[in-house]
Amino acid sequence: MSKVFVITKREFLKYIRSKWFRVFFFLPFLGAGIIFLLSYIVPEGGAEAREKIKKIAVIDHSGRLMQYLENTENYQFVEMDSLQATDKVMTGDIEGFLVIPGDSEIYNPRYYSLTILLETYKLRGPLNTAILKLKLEDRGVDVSLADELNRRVNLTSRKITGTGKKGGEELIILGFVMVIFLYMFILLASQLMARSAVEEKLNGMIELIISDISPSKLLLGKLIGVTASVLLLVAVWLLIGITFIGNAVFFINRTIDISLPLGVIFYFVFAFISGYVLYTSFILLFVSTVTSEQEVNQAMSVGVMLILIPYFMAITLVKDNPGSIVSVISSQIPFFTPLIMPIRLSISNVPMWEIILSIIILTLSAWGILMLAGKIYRVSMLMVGKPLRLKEVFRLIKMK
Amino acid sequence: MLVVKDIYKTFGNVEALKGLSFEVKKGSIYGLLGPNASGKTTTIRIILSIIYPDKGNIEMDFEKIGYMPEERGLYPKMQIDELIYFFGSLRGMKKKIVESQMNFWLERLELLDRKKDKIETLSKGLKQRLHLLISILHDPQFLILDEPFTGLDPIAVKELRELFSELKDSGKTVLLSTHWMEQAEQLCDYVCLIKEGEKIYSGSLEELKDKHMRNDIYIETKGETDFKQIPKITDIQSKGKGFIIRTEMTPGDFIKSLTKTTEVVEFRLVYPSLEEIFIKEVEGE
Repeated sequence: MSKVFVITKREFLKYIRSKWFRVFFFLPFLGAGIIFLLSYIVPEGGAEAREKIKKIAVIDHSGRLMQYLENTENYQFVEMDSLQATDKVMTGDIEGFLVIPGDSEIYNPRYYSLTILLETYKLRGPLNTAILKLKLEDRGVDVSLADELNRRVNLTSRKITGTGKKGGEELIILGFVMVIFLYMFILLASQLMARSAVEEKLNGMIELIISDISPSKLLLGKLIGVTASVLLLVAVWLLIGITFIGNAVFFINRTIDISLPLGVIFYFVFAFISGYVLYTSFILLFVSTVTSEQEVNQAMSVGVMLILIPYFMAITLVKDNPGSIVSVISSQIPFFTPLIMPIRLSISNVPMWEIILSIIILTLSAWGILMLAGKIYRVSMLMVGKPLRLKEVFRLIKMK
Repeated sequence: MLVVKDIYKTFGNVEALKGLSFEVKKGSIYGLLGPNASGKTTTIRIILSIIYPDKGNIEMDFEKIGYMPEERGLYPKMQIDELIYFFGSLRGMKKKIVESQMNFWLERLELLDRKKDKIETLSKGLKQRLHLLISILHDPQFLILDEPFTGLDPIAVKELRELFSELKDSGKTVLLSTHWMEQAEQLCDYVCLIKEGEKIYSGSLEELKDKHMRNDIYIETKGETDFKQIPKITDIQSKGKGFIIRTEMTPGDFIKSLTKTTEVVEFRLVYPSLEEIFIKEVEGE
């Protein structure tokens, strides 16, 4: 058995036997189980129908609005006087009551209930339609026109690509899913890897182990072991996710086109691997020089900060304006590329030269930082006692 | 045989080794002795190729080396047998061989009933034994022990010392790095004294002691004897029931110089202890 494989096996088994792994492993099963259970308990007929229809009392001071107030899927309106409505709210017979002021104040109705209503928009719709009908009647116009006026435009967005194929909202959603997945994977795996890399240094057995295996092979074995354990976890999540989405698609009887362009898939896989190598190596640069558990946490927080910036940029700035200068430049900065470029690719058309340039920059950066981290790791493993200063780190880089 | 030839090593501005040379003969216990930060661990790391010397080289004909470092951490959550299998497979040993070696040594070191226990439950002394087991698991011909007695109680020290003697008797060569002169004196055949990366002495312990022999005599007599009357005595110190006398005479001449009425109960030569020699050599007296 090769030495690297011995280390890989130990790391892999250590993580898959750990408590956190069991929690993360069974969490999606538990979640999926609960959701399936609920879908059996709750009566069928669509999600909205499962919600109980709420009774709302209407105290109509205008004296005319009630006739136009139509019941919705969620609310049933019943006219009452204020005393009766208050009693019924207290006894729980009705959810709450709407007070409609008369004349010019008709636009400022109030809703009273035992709990604050968060979804006021659900009441606003029928109220707007009722007021519109009232105003139309005042001007002698046919009230049925209101329904026509209220009809909403159904706008859908499609992306035109160079090959003439069109991608839709599904592609954008998948772009986001990819970025969130990448973010979670890199965050989890790089943190585990950093901790694992300095385990022997902190528990005082580094000297014993490197008399049997070189630091480079030790690090390689750890990298493969940790990555394999996180990949196993991710595979389980994906499997559960796909099965669950598959079932959901079957239930709602709608086909979702999840075919992704090959180029985007390629870029995602590339961003996944190079991003993982880049961030892990970067965290290792700092972690290799630590001499205590507290310093490990400090060193890792640097890496976390660095991945948080592109993540938030991707889901805010870049999403809103994928072609802006900020988006273009940030997608070429190695630490930002793995999260920002996939989002840009899924929302907009990115020129080929930009894609190629980002691949070159990211590959070179990931390789360079990996080599640097490996070197610092090799020479700093036996340095215990006091934390290294930046000057000393540079000296280590120059050392043979 | 191990030959360390004129090795130099510098860390930044610190010269850790300045041309150190010594030879370790097969089947002996060789003591690498020196105060803290004298370069002992650096020498061991170079022998093991964990680090490389700036100058000089190492020649060795041992195929398998066992190493017990000064730093004694282990994976705390691992079971004892799991750890042994781990190191066995890291050294390319077959599972069956690991198993038989493990059971033999666990029994010898009185750890067999703790085989399935987690390492974190072991006392310091037991962890030390486990460390030793790991270093000899693959049956090495050459064993390097870096400060093996640190942090142990006298009983554990004695047990460990006996075990090292056993290993020597079974034909193994041992390089023992320590600053515990008492233990080195009882175990080593040869020693190398180093100070600030430089060799002060290397050779047999016996020769070193002879070199430092100073005609000191222990004498115990019946009744009171006035040694001050005897010529050529330079120092008299009482020890136990007798005296340690330093004289310019040979031991034979000294005994002849005693009056016929003096009844000698005990008479012997006093060799300087390794600790005394070490301090003298290191302080450059």
